Amino acid sequence: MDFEEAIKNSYRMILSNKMRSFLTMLGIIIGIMGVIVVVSLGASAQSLILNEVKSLGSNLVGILPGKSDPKGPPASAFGVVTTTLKYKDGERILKRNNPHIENLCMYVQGTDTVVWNNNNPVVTFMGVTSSYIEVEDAEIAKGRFFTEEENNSNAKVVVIGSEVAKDIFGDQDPIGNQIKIKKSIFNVIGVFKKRGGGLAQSQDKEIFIPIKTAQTLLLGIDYLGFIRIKVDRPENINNVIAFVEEVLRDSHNIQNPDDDDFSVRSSASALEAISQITNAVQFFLTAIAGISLLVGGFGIMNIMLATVQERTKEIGLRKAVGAKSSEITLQFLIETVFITFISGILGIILGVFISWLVAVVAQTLGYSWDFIISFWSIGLGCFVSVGVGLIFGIIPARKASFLNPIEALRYE
Amino acid sequence: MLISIKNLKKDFGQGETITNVLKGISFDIKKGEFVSIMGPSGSGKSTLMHILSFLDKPTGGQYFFEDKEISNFSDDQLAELRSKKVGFIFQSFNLLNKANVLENVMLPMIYSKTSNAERILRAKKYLGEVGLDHRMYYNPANLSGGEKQRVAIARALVNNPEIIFADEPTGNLDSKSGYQVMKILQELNQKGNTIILVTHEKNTAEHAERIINLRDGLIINDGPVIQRQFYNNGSEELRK
Repeated sequence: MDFEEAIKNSYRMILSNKMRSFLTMLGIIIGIMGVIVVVSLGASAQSLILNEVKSLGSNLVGILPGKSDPKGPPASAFGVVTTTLKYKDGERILKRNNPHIENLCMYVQGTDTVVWNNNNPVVTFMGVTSSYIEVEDAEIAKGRFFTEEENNSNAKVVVIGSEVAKDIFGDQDPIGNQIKIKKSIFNVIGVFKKRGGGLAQSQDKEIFIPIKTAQTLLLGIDYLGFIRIKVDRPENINNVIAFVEEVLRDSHNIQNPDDDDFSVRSSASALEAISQITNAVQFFLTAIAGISLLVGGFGIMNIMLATVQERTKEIGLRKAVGAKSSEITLQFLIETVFITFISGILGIILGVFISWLVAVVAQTLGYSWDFIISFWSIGLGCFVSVGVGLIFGIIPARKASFLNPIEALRYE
Repeated sequence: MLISIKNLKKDFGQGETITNVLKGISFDIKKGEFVSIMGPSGSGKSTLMHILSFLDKPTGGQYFFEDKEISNFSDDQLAELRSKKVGFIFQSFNLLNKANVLENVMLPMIYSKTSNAERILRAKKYLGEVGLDHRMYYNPANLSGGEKQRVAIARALVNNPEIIFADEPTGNLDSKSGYQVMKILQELNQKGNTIILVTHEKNTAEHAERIINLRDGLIINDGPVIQRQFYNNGSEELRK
């Protein structure tokens, strides 16, 4: 049996029954496409999150209220409000003067309508301490950030993100204007530089007021959303985490770490938590793609069995003119693999195209989304499509080779 | 001796439902002979042809091909013999409609491991010999019955076989095309090819030099044709 002849036969078979061939190939095409897309989007999402964390700073330690598995999502991710983290906790950490802690910022968060003239968009406001600028490496484009004195005196001042500035004030200079949040009038004293990025949180879309003002005037609470600590060098992060845990246990009178009512994480462990979620999603989607390949494989097998039946006479003739059983097996196996391989190639092309499309859409929506296609996923696609052909082609091919040439020639 | 069979038997089925299709057949065929195997349907002539042409194995007796006993050959060995030693012409042509005429003629050379260039060369040569070189790229479905059978003859010849088996080659043809096919077979025989023709028609059978007459799995007559038919409806043309 020569290879060229088998390829030519497969080619003829596909063309002689285009609709059937296409439907047969669809399962494999979708399966391979799925694998390519899942791998590509997974890699893009990972890199997006990585960039996110990097833009946040890799030397940050976060303190969240409530106990949680350091590798799992925090309780607040499920909407649980925990009130155990207080302003004095932050103050205590600072008072202990750990040399590796450069600074510390405390946060509360809320959402409300912001009114200026006839504009009243709904905006997320952050109540932060004056150290925000230093902890988050934020930059002011115009005006200034508020001071610790303004925080302590519940000053009604606000610094706004670049996009919010555009939304509320358009082309006008926001500085010196007054906006109303919940019946209180705030003076706009500064505008942030555009920061970009930002998947979960974006400074550009938020406004910032002193934390004490936010707690008393807008939220009516005495607890914190979270605390971030800037560590001098990344290698001291674990050191600082241990230190913070000790201070907080002391402050909260906790003897046993199992009773912790807070959790301390580094941005690296946050990254790990998010990676775990994306990995789980990727695994799930890959499993679905695998099922599609399995179903596609059975579809191919079914069609090849029908083909063997249809071509009984041809098989008889080939045997009569000297084909050995092994040559018939090989011919049908090559034909099946050819079909699955072509399907695989189409799936790869489609998968790359869809991944590219998603990247383009994400980029137009403003995310720093990279279009990533790894060569190993393309290799995997080729390998799997050939493998499916071999696995599901062997039964029809064997069936063809077992045909008795005399009966096959008589077959009508 | 090219073919020598001794007390050849073939049974189908088992136990009580056993049928003895060939009940002990012996004859020799020399190289260059033109033999007809004749008999009504059910006489066992097709089964005999299948065994002689290595498509089937006997259940008893001996089959010497080129002085080698082959009744115990494996399937692959028989496939090899079919590839190198025989050419087939069938009643229903058995051409592949998905391939063109040239590709159909090249088919046996795939399995005889002939080089690509040689395949095309030989296929064209034999298509020329049956007068169909102008139909090379046609689809067989668009040919007349006579043309189809001539394609099949070219296909039977490409591997330079020792024997050509023709199974009712004129059965699906009008009489004119039928004579044309018989003429080609006689010409091939004159060039030295051994031909074994299987038919139930006396007229067709008489184109050969010798007729082996079968009935119920036994030979009832084996002898030379007394008044041989030639490739016109009578014998006159050749005698002229």
